[in-house]
Amino acid sequence: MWIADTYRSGVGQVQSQTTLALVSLLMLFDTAFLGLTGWMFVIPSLIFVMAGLLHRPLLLNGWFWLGIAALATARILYLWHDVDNNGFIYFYWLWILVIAHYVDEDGFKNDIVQFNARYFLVFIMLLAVVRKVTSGTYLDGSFFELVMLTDERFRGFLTLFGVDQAVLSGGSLAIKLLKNPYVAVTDNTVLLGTNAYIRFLAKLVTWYDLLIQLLIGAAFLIRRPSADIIGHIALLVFIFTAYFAAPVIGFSWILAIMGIALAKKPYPNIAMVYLLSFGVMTMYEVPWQAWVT
Amino acid sequence: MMSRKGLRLPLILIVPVFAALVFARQVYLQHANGLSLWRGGGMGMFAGIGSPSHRFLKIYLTEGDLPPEPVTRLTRGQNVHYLRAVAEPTQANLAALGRAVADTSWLRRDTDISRRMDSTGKILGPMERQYKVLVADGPRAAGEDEAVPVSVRIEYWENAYDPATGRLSASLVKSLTYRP
Repeated sequence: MWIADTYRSGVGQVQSQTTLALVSLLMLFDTAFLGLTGWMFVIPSLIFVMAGLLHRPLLLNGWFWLGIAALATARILYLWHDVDNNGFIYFYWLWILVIAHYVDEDGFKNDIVQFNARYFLVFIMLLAVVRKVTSGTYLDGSFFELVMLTDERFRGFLTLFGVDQAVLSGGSLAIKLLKNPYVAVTDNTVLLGTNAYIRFLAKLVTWYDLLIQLLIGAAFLIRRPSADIIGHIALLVFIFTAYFAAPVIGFSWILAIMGIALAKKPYPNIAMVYLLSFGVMTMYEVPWQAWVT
Repeated sequence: MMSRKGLRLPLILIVPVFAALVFARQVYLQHANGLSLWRGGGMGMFAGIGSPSHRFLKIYLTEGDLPPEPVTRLTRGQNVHYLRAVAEPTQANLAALGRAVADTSWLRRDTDISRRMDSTGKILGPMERQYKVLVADGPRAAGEDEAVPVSVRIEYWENAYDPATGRLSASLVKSLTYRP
């Protein structure tokens, strides 16, 4: 019975404005620790996180969110060359929270948050599909093949799928050799140890990534309850699978925040799964890759 | 606090419209300035080869009659310029890096680490000339570059991958020589 009571209490919590604000704040914590460079951004970020956690009424204060949004804006302007997509999405999300906290009516607040959560889920997914289709190096699988051979973050995932460590170990070194002015590589070309299996895995991941993002974007664009449920399920599958292979935790969190914002009133159980994904994504940060490689 | 009905639509749409403008700007800068697909808010991460990790710069410093030497040990401030130039290799960004390197005094250390390698990683032998390693030694003294002419050549390279052959190749896309 206590499990059911705890769950019902959790559902009530996830529907509250405070929870949405709290997870958005935790995103700042993750960004400060894992993603930010420059003490001028890390230290104020951590101060905001501590303040929000220690004095909860701040989470419902527009000035608090304005301060964080201003910090994120300064970071984008100064460190634009180093800011990933999730940094931009989080920046947009912060200004949405600022605007939502400055309006009077609760109904209007919800309209702002929900419209923008849907808009940005469609924006992120469908524009990502457009960029993939038009990039010239995505659809043939060459992009993911290169990533698998050279990006250390994928090594554990590929080892689980039976790819030989010896094949993977040379990829990142190859890039360093090409960049190194103290090494003259013949024709500035290195041979990566690819094979038919890696090529197959790369094509599989290529099409999975493209199609699931297309499904998520299209489902939320339609704006029907049945399509929304499909969109939420696909988004959750995407979060749990894509970020297992490449733990870019910041992006998974921002997608989950938007999922909560959209699902919390009509589908509170789905919102609870998004909330659960925060914990699972954090567990993905456990260095399991070092154990299997 | 705002509650007038006239502000309803603008308040809902202001951030989405801004995000769309940022996206359009990224697409424009990608084509006009070579901005990386993975930067600038264009939703291009994991969309293709074009991440900053597959772009790099080779920097060579020439002082007076001495031969050019590679600069690899950048200071923190120079590294910011490096990252900006790699993300968006405009003349201005490359020149800013060149200026930062030229404004620094460098100590030269002999090494024997320069090597030739084939595409499989097999070492073929030493390079014809052994490059020195340069270590930053604070700002260059005022007027020093007039006594000893300084120039910085910056080469911008991009990687490309051929899945048919499994070969990763680096190509020189552009270069700039900065003279104070």
